[in-house]
Amino acid sequence: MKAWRGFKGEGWRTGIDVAGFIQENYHPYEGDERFLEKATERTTALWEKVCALRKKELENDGVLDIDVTKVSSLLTYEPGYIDRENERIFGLQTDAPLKRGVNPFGGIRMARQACEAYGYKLSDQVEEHFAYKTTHNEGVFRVYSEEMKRLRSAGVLTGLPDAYGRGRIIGDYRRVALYGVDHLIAEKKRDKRALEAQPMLSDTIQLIEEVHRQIDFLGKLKVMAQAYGDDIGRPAETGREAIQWLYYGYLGAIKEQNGAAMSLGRVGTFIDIYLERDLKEGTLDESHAQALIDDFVIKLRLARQLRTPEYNTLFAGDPLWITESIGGMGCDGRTLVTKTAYRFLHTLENLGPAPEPNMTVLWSDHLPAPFKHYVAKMSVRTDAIQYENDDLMRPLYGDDYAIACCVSAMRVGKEMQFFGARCNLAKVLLMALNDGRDEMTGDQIALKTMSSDRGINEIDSETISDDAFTEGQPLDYERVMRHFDAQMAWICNQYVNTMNVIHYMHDKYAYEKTQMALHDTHVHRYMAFGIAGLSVVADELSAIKYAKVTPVMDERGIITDFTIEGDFPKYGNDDDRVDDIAVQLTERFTELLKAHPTYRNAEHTLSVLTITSNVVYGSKTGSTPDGRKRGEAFAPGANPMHGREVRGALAALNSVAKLPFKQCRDGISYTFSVSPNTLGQDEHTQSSILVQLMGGFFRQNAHHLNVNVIDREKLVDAMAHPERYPNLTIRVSGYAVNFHQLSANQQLEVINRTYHERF
Amino acid sequence: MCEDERVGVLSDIVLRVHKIESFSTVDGPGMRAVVFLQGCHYRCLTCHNADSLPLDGGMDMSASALFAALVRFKPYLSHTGDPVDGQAAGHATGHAAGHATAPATDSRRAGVTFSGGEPLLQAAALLPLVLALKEAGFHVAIDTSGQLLGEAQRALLAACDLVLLDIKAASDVGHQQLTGASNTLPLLVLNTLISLQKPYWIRHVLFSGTHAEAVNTSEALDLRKREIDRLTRSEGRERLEFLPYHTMGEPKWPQEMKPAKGVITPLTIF
Repeated sequence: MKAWRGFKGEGWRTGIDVAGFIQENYHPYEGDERFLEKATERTTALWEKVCALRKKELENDGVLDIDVTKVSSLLTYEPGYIDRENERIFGLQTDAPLKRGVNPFGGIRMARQACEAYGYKLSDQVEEHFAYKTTHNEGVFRVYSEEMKRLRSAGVLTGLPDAYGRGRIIGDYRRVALYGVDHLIAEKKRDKRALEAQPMLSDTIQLIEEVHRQIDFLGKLKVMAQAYGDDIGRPAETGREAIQWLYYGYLGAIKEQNGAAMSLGRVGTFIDIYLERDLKEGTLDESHAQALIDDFVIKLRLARQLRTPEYNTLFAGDPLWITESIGGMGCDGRTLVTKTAYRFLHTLENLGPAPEPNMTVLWSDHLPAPFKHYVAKMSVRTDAIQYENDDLMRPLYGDDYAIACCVSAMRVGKEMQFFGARCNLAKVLLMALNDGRDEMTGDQIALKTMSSDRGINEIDSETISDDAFTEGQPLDYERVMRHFDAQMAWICNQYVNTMNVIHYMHDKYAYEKTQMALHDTHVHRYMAFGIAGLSVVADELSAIKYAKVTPVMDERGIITDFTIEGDFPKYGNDDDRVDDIAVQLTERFTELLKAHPTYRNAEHTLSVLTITSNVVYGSKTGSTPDGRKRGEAFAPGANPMHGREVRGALAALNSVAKLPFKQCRDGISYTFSVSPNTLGQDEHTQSSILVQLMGGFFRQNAHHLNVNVIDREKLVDAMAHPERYPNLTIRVSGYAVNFHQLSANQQLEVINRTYHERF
Repeated sequence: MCEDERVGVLSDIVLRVHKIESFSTVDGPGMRAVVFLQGCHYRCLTCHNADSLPLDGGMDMSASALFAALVRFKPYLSHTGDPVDGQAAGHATGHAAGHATAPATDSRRAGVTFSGGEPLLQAAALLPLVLALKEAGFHVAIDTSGQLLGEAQRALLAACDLVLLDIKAASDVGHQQLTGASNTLPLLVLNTLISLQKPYWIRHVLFSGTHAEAVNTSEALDLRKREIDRLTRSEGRERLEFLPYHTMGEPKWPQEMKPAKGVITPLTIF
């Protein structure tokens, strides 16, 4: 076959085995970045057109245009172009760049609000169409229990994907390029036939219907590409086609779904095989190879979804988490770094820094030294890269996994996850102190664990028969832990059930046809739970244990504040006394979650990640026993609380590195900010030190690091004078944003984070 | 000595510690953890760490506790992935050409620095800890202004890998005006380093103002640099660093240390 000329290996040719194909055919690259080429004039001109549109978009409150007349899907819009003659990779979500489509499958109310927020009105056609349709959101609320609703609105379980697309599913878009859609359809039909032989019970029936819909959408994908003049029924024959084909796959997914995180996967090494073949055949030179990657990245930077302002307060900066996993090592010991890994990162210079695609370097101790140095240098220059520990993940996921969203690892095309937002653990502790009442409203929202005045939520518990905590009486650690544990156990039950409802309904009413068509029919599923406020809770418990913490109550008997006498160990200083508390919390929470069965037998996982929601979580949480005042933001992800690290950067890194990935399999996010001068006086020293710093962190089995090399003063100045820093990109929590797309509160929170400085 | 025995010896030793800073790139070569010891005899008008001066300040820590805290930074010392011999040393962009080898060498010497305060005041207690750290694979540096020199200090200087010696003034009079003490001991410490063939860096803080030691003209600046260079030069001197005075330490000054306004100011010429 022409498409496969020169490719080695046999096993991958029948069935579907992209990883096998890569292993047989890729070229590891251990050299440095000197081969890279600048952007061509054509690329630069095209990019300038996009920049002009982006400027308009920002001036227009962040949304350039909305097509309110149609429901976004694969075949809704005519083909769109930026500048047809000068594009190398084609395809837009709608018929014009930065025009947003409407996707009401998550919830019609959200779609309506999102239109209205930007001065548009959802058309009558769409309203009417959905008047007869059940959305995911409606399905969920038909089943939610009173407890679930209470926990949700009190901000204990927040950010749940019950009114928007769940995302965090990575289609194996490479399959489109390697095999062509006709082959993929044939394989799915074969799978369907095999399923038909099984007893027709609900699991099988559900799966057969899903495969039917997958096949339907693979057909639509082919038609979508035909409108641009490409026949993706057949496999890609050149580097350009390989990029184009897999991009069509991705484009189909983001037309169909407005999932929170629509990650790209791990396409670089795959693309590199095609580019290398073209280079060898003499049909491509480096400059044009780079131009193809630049064009691809331009397209990714144009991807948008229509969100409500409320959504933006949780996940600021219009992110799609088009996460591309770069680098890492193969199980056979060869590096998976190729020249295309460099080419991807080089777009940060050819096109300037930007938050998307979400460049995620899979860090290994064994990565080639020049690559380590290059990525560190790009971090120093752009603050646009995050790092995740390949040495930790490869043994668990093999060498063809990718990161969805920020920190969620999964085997590409073989595993998916049910995204579950997070539980506000700091608030759970306050509920434990208040006998299940919400410290903000006074309402009974959770379990009563104290003996007096048992009410509707009474449980039959013999281990707890305490009276309520009283004013003026210092908190006793053991007693607090007893109530906290009971409260956590109850919350975990509610949490798992809530997730089961959400994902049952998402599968039913907003199933990801295109993305799941690019998965094996039988996938392994994770159910990804999360906790927010880990560092707050660790410090709270440390304060109760090592200092004297006395509650202050209001007239309703709700604890509204605490007096703290004496000092206590604080998370972030490499002090086991408190770090162990954080470790035990993650272990215990995971254990409690696992006690409850999940929808489709998904495997429970846990993340310590907040995205930018740490600000909102903080605003919904009263004063805490560590001295944090009511409404103050939490630290993001697994970060120590702002300014509490007094022993410097390595001590802080060491504390975070203790959190066990084994119990936090959905990732542990640490956003690290250091001033350039603290790293060194010149760029070379800065990158070398950064390499050393990351090496030490990841060698201790740490999972994730967002790196910002920036001065706090620069951010303060950028707040006052945004025009001076139009492209200021920073990593916030598992993703990067343009600084100016954060709300003022979020900007302040970022500024108040600890910047490691040393004079 | 095995690890247990060493920790046993160290647990009986108490050091007076001001604070631990786990990450620094300005206290010796490469990336370093810095232990600021408490207590100093000098009262330098340029002090940037005045809260480390009183002998009774800070906190007591056993040498074993310090060792345990410092040994936690060992994972950062491994050099896998360092650019080697100028490889990937920024030549693609032409940046940092002059640094192609120096920082790589520095990163290979990452380790621990004892600063202060004045570490030589606790030399006897410090020595076993320094030996233990060296045995554990750390590069150990002492940052001192040379305030004391006896057998214990000599042994400590001999034991560490590198000494950062702060020469506060070129002349004895200037030294007295600036620190309150003669420069005899710092110069003796310098001679000891030379006779021990110990690698050392010389550091000298430059400032402007009305003080007799201030430099306010480029001639004075050149002269000062030449004087310090001449005074401290030998084969063992790896570096001569002139550090511009900054005011970030001033808020920590106790009332009695504060000079009149304008006496000590940041350098006005470069």
